[in-house]
Amino acid sequence: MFLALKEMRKEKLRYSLIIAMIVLISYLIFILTSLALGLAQQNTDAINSWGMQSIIMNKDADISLSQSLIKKSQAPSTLPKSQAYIAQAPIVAKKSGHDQVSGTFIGLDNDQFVAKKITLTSGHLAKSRYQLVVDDAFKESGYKLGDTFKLNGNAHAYTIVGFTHNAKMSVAPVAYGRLSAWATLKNVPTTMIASAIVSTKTAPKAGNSALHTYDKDTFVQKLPGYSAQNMTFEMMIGFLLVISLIVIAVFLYILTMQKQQNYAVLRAQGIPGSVLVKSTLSQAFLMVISGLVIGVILTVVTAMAMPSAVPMAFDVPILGAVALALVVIAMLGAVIPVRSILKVDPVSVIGG
Amino acid sequence: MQALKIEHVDQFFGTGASRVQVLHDVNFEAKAGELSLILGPSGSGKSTLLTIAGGLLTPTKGNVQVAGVELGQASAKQKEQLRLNHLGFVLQAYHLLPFLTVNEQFKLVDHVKKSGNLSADALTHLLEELGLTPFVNAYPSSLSGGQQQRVAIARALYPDPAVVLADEPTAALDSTRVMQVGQLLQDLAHDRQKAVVIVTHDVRLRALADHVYDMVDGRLTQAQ
Ligand SMILES: Nc1ncnc2c1ncn2[C@@H]1O[C@H](COP(=O)(O)OP(=O)(O)O)[C@@H](O)[C@H]1O
Ligand SMILES: [Mg+2]
Repeated sequence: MFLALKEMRKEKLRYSLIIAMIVLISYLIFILTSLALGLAQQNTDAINSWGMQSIIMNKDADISLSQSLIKKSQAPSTLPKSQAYIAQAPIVAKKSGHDQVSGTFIGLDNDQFVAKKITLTSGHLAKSRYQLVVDDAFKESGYKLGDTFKLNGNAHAYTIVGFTHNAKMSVAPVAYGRLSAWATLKNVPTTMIASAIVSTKTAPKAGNSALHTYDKDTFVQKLPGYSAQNMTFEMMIGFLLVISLIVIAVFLYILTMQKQQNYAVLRAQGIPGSVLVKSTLSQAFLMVISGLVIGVILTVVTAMAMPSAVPMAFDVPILGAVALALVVIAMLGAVIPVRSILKVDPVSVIGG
Repeated sequence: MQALKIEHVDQFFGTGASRVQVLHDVNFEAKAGELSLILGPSGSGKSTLLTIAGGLLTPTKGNVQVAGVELGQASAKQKEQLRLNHLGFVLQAYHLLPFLTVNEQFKLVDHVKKSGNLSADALTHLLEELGLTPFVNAYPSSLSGGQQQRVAIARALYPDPAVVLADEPTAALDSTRVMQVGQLLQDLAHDRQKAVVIVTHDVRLRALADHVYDMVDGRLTQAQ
């Protein structure tokens, strides 16, 4: 530590530049991780709020809620308490003087478990076909309780009777309504009852050969764009970690090469190689920790300044894990110059 | 007792056709309280001998004893400890760590060697004697060549070694400084009872030595 600190104090500019690189990398990693997390949440918030474990869909729908249709004849006459109909339709809300909002209509039966899971921030559940409970995102587009608007160009107006928070599917706001409103919005014959049946049980029987049960994870992974998005972010974060490994290894290596003669003298004087190795490792540690601390401060400032429309989620355990990964990788990077320290030949300093 | 004893040392470098003998049956002793000077032209094998005496190079043949330790029998770790505790090197260049102040050069030794170093008073006194007191908080880069060389001498002395090995200690100095540094090394031997060995081609130091040796083509002989 003595050597490490003294050297960093003397060569402030050099070490500040390396720390600045680590700050930028860690900041970028934190922001990307938060964005990835935010996007992932906005893909699945609504689904998570239902408390479902599995979903029964048309087996030819490629596990896509928007492709799945269940006929009345395929469904049981009454659903058990652990099951609920989900009726999905894409919607575009349009009201003069307001922005258009595209979202997802989810038709529900108010007596089934999903409707009971919805937490309202204001108003009440839809009591008739033309009433809707919508995600708070509608507020940001200027909609209020009691507003009426047209959906998908249909003649009849729908009224907002309630708001709910964090109801998003595939990053679009959800509008909960009655099951009876669905067929018209989806433009399907009334012989269809819903898109799918969700269940709080892990593997309920599908009950009909045209239907199939999927677990929640399979369903979520098949949400449009969901796994592609996650993979993109994971790749970016992975590459950044590799880049930080290279940056730290290269910088420390260059610094070590410049100090070869000094190290050779120290070795000749009988200073153990382990002292020099520890010094380099503690420098790497100090640099990555200082870089991380500044990176965290920048991330917190960014989080506070970020408009709520940007899908960012700051999850401390996950960001902590990412920070830890960065520390581990930095230390791995510092091991590379250690080899050249141990190979220093003290004989080289004698003879001039 | 001899602080340093070298017996029948041969040193070869290279293999096959390029194999050359750099040292031929070298015998040498250095006692505490004496300054020994090894004079020889460039390429005669002086630095090689010093490297062997310092336990940095194992000779092809022969025995080396430092402070009672037979180097042929010592492990790498033991030789490292020997250099740390009993040997002081005064080198021509690169002696000081550029990112440590004069004071910190000594503190580094404290971190590695916990005991047996000069006391704080003794160090202050030594630095005063060397005219370094005004520079204790300076970095080497702000010191002149002569000042740096004096710090290096103080650094070599700080662990209170039995043997001080100096390789061309005056090569980087202007002529007014040469005798000063030479005098200093003589004082180490006479006043501090160190065994001081200087290898150099600088004949000006001759007058200061208790024993003078000539190194010619790897053969060491006592000078007349
Ligand atoms: N590691 C080595 N490999 C091969 N030859 C060497 C090596 N070290 C020194 N020599 C050779 O040994 C001879 C003596 O070198 P050195 O001890 O440095 O002489 P001096 O210090 O007297 O100038 C020179 O010819 C030099 O080229
Ligand atoms: Mg030489």
